[in-house]
Amino acid sequence: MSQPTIDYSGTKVMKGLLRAGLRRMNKFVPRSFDVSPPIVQLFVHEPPRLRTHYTFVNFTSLYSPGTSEPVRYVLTLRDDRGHTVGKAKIEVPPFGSVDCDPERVFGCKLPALGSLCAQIRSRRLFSYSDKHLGKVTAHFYALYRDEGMRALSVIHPQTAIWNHTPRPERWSSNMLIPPATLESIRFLQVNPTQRPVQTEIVLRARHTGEIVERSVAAMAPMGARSVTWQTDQLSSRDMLYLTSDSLTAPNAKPLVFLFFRNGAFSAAHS
Amino acid sequence: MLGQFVIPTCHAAGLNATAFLRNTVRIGEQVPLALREKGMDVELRVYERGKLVFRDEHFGHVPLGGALQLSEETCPALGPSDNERVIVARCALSDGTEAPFAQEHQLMYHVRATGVFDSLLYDQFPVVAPNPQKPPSPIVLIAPKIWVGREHTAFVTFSNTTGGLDVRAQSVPLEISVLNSAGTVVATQSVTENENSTLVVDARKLVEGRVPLRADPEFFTMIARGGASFYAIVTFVQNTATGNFAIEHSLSPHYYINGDMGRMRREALKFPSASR
Repeated sequence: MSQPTIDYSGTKVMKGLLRAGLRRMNKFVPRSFDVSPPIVQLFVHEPPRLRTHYTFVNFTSLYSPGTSEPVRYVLTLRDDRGHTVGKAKIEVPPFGSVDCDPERVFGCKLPALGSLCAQIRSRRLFSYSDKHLGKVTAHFYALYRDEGMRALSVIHPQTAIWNHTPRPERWSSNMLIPPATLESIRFLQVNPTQRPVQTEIVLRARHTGEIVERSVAAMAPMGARSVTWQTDQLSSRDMLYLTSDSLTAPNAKPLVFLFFRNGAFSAAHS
Repeated sequence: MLGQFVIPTCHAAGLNATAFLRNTVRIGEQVPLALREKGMDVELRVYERGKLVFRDEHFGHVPLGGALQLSEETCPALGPSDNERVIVARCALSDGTEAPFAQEHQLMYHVRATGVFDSLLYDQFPVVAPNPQKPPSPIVLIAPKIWVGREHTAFVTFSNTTGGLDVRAQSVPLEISVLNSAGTVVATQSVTENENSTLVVDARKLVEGRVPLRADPEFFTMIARGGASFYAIVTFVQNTATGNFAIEHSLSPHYYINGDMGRMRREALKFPSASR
């Protein structure tokens, strides 16, 4: 039996030492800096048909009740070109939560389309009390609602901000969309990277794979876009689904809003 | 290779459940394409409060890229019933092993009265053989997506399966609490559910009489701890006047944190009695 070979190349050894050193150093990193990249969610503001709320929860206190303390979420609202239009901080008490209405929180003219980015921070700069939770991620939910919340959709977070430009992903959605009762299908897409991205989203018929709609666009860094396809020509189709050879980032799948003929809507990650 | 997909009914919200089981290649998966090309076999089990009410070991076969529809039309056991049911689809690729494999299936619910529907893509989870020496870890759920008002509520469905065929209560109760925005516990309910069942918790019923129900709904967080089974938890937020609803799955703790899960589970399970 041959002996296993060990790679003593300088790069691997250095990387290993660096990782081990960072692990040891990590206990000295305060909570506010031991966090994953910020999370981003789509923002739509088309009252009265569509408004967006976000929900933030003090999850660190629920996971570590013995060391509970308030947390802050640092929020950045951007428009569809990726330009910052507002910044805000919200404080969430121990075990508490916030139903965040951007109209109240930002106090500025809201863009019709954009994104909200959130990062979690400890209220105290040098807080170590819940370090046993490890690196924390500022996940939050989005609520899309019409006036009176007669129709609504709740969407879980899906993508973090990317500090580098990932390779474009080829993707085919597993979500099948029956168009018969729909007035329109609308997809919303965010570019969670720091670079411009060329992206394409295609709507296909399930049984044949035939392309029935296609949309290509260049998206600005941290930009967002929205495309609506009327379904009057598609209502006889069995099922539809989305594909792309160029998602803006891995898992940055579009949100799909379905508008029904009776005025209702529903939405989901595709 | 073997996996399972758990589907709750939610008759309480007036919804019909449909699922599309997919045999599709997942990004980065290790499953040989040739195995996918042979197709995916599906065994279906439907339980009501732990009792097996339907079983078909050869319910369907899903070719690569295909979809198998589970609905009242293809399986009458998904139709209206006295109690909520859990549908367990066991999906197999024929390599002779029980190793888990990545999958994503579609849940779709229709409002019976209007036909409006919403969907959710959801991963399946592995089939784990029952082991009395090592019961499943208790769940720790945080669901910051509960709106309650005169015309709004959230139905949180706790579906569980152990794969067993005996009717048996779980060894650990599930403690469910509703917290307001200030972090105060508004209501708590302790439930001992059978293995292989779906519990639907209507948040409005839980808090009714403890908070005023307004036209503009109030926001709450539901937390749940305990149980001794494998859970899939899905929340339906509904306008009960229009029937329109949102569906979303929960995020398990590893989405939020990557540290000491054992300590987190021990401490989170003590909340709120240990801290308030």
